[in-house]
Amino acid sequence: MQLHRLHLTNFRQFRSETVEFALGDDQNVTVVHGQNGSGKTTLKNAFLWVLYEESNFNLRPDKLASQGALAEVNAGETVAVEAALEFEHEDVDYEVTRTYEYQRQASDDYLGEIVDEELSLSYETADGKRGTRQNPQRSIEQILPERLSDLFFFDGEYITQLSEGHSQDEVKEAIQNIMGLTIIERSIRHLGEVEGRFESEVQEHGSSELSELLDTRSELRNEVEDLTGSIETKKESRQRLREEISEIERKLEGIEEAAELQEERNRLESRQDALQAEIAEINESIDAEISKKGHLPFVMPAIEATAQDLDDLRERGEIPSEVSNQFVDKLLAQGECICGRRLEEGTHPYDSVEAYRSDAAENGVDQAAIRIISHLTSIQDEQAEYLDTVDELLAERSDLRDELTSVDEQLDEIQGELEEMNITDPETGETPSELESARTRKKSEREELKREIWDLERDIETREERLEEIGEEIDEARQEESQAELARRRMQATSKVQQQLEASFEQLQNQVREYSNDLVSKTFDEIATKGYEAEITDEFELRIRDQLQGEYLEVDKSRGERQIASLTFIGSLVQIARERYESDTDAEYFSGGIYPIVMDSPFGALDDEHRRTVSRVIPRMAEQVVVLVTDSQWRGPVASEMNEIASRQYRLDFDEGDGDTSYPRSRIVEEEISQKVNQ
Amino acid sequence: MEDKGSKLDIDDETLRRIRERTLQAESEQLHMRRPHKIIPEIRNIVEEEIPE
Repeated sequence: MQLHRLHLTNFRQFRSETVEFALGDDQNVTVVHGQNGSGKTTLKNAFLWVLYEESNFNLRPDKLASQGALAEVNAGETVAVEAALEFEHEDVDYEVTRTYEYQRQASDDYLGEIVDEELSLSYETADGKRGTRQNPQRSIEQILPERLSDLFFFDGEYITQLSEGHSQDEVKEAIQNIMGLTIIERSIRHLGEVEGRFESEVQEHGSSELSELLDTRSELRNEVEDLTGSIETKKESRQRLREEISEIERKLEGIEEAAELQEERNRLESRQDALQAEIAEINESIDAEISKKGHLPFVMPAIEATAQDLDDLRERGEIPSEVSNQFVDKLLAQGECICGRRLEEGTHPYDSVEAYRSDAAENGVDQAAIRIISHLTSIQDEQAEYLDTVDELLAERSDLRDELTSVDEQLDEIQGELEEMNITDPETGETPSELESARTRKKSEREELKREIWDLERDIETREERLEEIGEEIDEARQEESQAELARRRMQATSKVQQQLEASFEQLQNQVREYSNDLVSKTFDEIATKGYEAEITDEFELRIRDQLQGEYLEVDKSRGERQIASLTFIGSLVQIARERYESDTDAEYFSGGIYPIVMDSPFGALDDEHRRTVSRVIPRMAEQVVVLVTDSQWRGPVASEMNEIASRQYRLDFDEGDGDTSYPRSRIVEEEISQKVNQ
Repeated sequence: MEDKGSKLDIDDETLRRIRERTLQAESEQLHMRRPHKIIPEIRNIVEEEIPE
């Protein structure tokens, strides 16, 4: 960015004044000098106003209109206050113009009220193409970001701030601004807030429920496996016992005296099995019958009461008989009753038949009542049939049970007889009594195992039901868990990016500090008082060190040196911005730029020697420098140092007016070369 | 437990995209003292880069 020209119209004490700025490598300084109050600070502020609409002026805030201009118009008329800045940026010429329209409110109003405002940014490219930017403020922001404005448009106060002790914050802020680190700083802060929101989401969805459910399911599955194993073992034991019992029975069949009893027992046991199977079948039939029609006996009282009520109503004539209105109408239309009588209107037979018609009930109700009564009758039949069937089944079961009891008794008798049979088998040496006792014991064990297996199967059933429920609960918990997992991943990503940016932030800040420190140290060494060196410490503090003593100097004892160091520091940042701009490498956060510097009263209360030194620093600070100084600061060493390089020099001629017929006014007068030499 | 130990690692490319898009979103609002709805915007960036 290179400043070409600033034109002010009715801007404070400037009625229509222009400054053209020095350009060129060797003569890059523009000097504007004038007495206190002549408008130096107003000129600096004009840059901030035209570029950023910043109007933080000490006097008459927001009141920019020239008093003289307002005095020349009548109440109700307006005055245009305008600043136009021409500059070049990347081979394109721009002119930014900001205008406020002030209206004079009364004859004694010399401030006016803003009634309209406008901003425009026109451009002309190197090949002659002209136009205006649609969003001028945004375009200006892209050319010279407002956050950098403090570094390029500053006054003596800012230099002092940088040079005073404990300047870490100012130095850090300057570095952050020039490097675009503010973007990173904000990103880090905002990512932290986003991370917090994802964390809340994790807490909302996440729980130990899924983990507990999966553990429970795993335990249940293990239990089912163990139970199934136990059942298998018991079934094997039962099978073994069965084989042992069969072996005993074969032995009994082999003993002549016991053989007949054993064969009878085989027959009875077969019958016993058959009877038990038949009884089981009948039980199933009874269950099925009860399940299908078992409700009938319970509802019959209500059905019978309903049927009785309907019948009573019918008897009282409140519900029509089964003769429908439709049928009565048909007889009346035919003119003949079902008994053969003639039905003529006005006769008694006609009236009698007509009386069957019901005025109270519609045909539909009539039919419905008939259907209900008919249905109730069929329910009664159904109940009778049901009771008969169940009775038959119960009787059949009772017979079978009687027979079963008889079989059981016969088997008990056989068992008793065998237990008392003490004949020894000559081949095995065993008696039927011993064999039978062993058989009874094994039978008992086998029955016990059967009960245990049944219990185990019930245990498995219970667990499998629970497993089914848990499966559904796991599906639900997994859904929740998957949302928590997603939030966790997002939280982790946010945190990682934040950490990366924090590392970049620290690294870049330190890189710039080190680089800036080298430049400051080098420049300071070249121009400042011998024996001192300037340094930007690891803590980002600008300090002056006595080379001989090796100690940092107190602020009071090094004020001049500190101000020189401050200016070299600002210069170093401008240089860094330019180097980044010219560098081929892609800058991730800040692409840099070439910027001018406009400084107001940079010499402060320095003595002549330090003013001379500062004058040597100024041209080095940027490619283009505008210096606004008081006449007293300009004279002497400053002028003699800067005359050669200040190719544009202006004097502010200020007339404060009498406040009646004339008003404060400054003219910007360019000084001739001969005048410059005479300074 | 079968569901434990799922991967939380995010690949570098995804992290790079989140970083770039976040910086871009911040740079577009850098001139504002208080960026407008920047938290939902960054959250949206993360959600888009790590979809369900």
